[in-house]
Amino acid sequence: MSDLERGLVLIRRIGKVIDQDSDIALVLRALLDKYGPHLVPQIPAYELERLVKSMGIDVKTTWKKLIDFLCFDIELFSLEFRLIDELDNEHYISYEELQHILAGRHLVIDTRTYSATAAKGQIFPFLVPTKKWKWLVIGYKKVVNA
Amino acid sequence: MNAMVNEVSTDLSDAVSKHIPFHIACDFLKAAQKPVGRSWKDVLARNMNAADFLTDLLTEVICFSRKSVFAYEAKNKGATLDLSRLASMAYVPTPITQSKNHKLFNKNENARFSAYNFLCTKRANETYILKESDLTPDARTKHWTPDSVIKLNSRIVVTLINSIVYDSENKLLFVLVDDLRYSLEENSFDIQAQFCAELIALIPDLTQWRLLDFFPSINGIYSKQTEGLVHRLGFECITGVTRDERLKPGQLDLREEKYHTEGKAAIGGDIQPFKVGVTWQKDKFTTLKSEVELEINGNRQALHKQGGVFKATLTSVGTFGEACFAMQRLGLYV
Repeated sequence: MSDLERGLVLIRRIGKVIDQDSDIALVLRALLDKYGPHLVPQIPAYELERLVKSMGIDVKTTWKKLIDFLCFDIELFSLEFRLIDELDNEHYISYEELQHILAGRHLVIDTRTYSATAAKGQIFPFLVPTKKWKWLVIGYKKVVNA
Repeated sequence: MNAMVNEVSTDLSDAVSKHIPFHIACDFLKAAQKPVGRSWKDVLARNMNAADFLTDLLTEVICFSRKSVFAYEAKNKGATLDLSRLASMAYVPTPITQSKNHKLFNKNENARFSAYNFLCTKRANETYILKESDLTPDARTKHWTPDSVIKLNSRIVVTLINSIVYDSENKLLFVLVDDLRYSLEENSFDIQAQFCAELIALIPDLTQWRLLDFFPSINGIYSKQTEGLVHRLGFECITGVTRDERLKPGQLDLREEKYHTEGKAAIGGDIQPFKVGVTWQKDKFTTLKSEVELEINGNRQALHKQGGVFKATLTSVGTFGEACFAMQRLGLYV
């Protein structure tokens, strides 16, 4: 199967899973419009939040559903957590480390130690596109242009 | 104290030339219609009889240039701050003995802003590179070679001048912290917190005020085309790239610079600034006597939190009027 065919199959599958006019479908379409033209290595969660807010959708009620759908149901993105330090460098945080921090243990990166509260303030979620996202973008372009 | 470097100059002209950059001093002299010249020597000779003017200028420059700026706002909007206790306080004489607590020594006022300047002493680190002439002849012959580099690290006592400036129109209290001139052991947030803890004894209402977030003003200043010249911008693009662009201050505008505009257009124009530096020129704004530079240096964490930038930096050298101007512009965006 080519990437285009895969993309079209994915679109059909998404059409079956969610309602065309639901909030999630609207957000997904907006995401495709915004990030379709450029291949993006990552989407910070705050950008998604802004997008949802700008469409007039309540973030609080939709957020969990949206992340569940995008990252776990159809796996368009993988959810990653990164710590941003004072010099704006990013450090990858695994789920295990995250569990430790939530349990109140400190975190060591390079030679620096972060307390649990300090780490919580500096760890942010990112959506990293998977290959399914690439297929979806190609399929979407075809559908829109047709 | 390292007397070789930190001696207090008793000569006014010496002190003026040490604290004020030449071109900025000329700006103020021109604004006061005093003669200017090509060198310090020239200028000082022509202004021999303007000692009062130079003293006032020097005091204001020391109090209101190169400071970290914090701002407070009332928790319940519209509450005013009662500064009457400060207004009736006695001033301490300027060459005071060392004091760890803040002492009021000076006051500035105009129609909108009222400023109170406080002195306090802190410890700072100083590195001094030893010169050949600093040694005794005996030590020189024993230990000195022409290529010796000997650094002396010493802890010196310095006097900081921290101020509060109350904006009666916007109901904001600005706290200026003097931490940029020395390498201090505490950072500006520590000094600011200590200063405000002392102020609460004088102004009890201050407990009902909270630190103001400058994050909205970063994007506000950048997106308003007429707001001075942007000389520095740190931002994140949708393509995941972080950039920190700088220009020579006060000459070009980054908003119109070709590399910036075309790069922005290539990715669809969507950028998220988290760091901005702006210069207001004296020929564009008639109330200014010299140019004013202000920087708000956030980092990427601020983007994710959509807030959390509490410090701005006034990097230019100027008088009370210039500092008020910067705060007035800042007040438009918070």
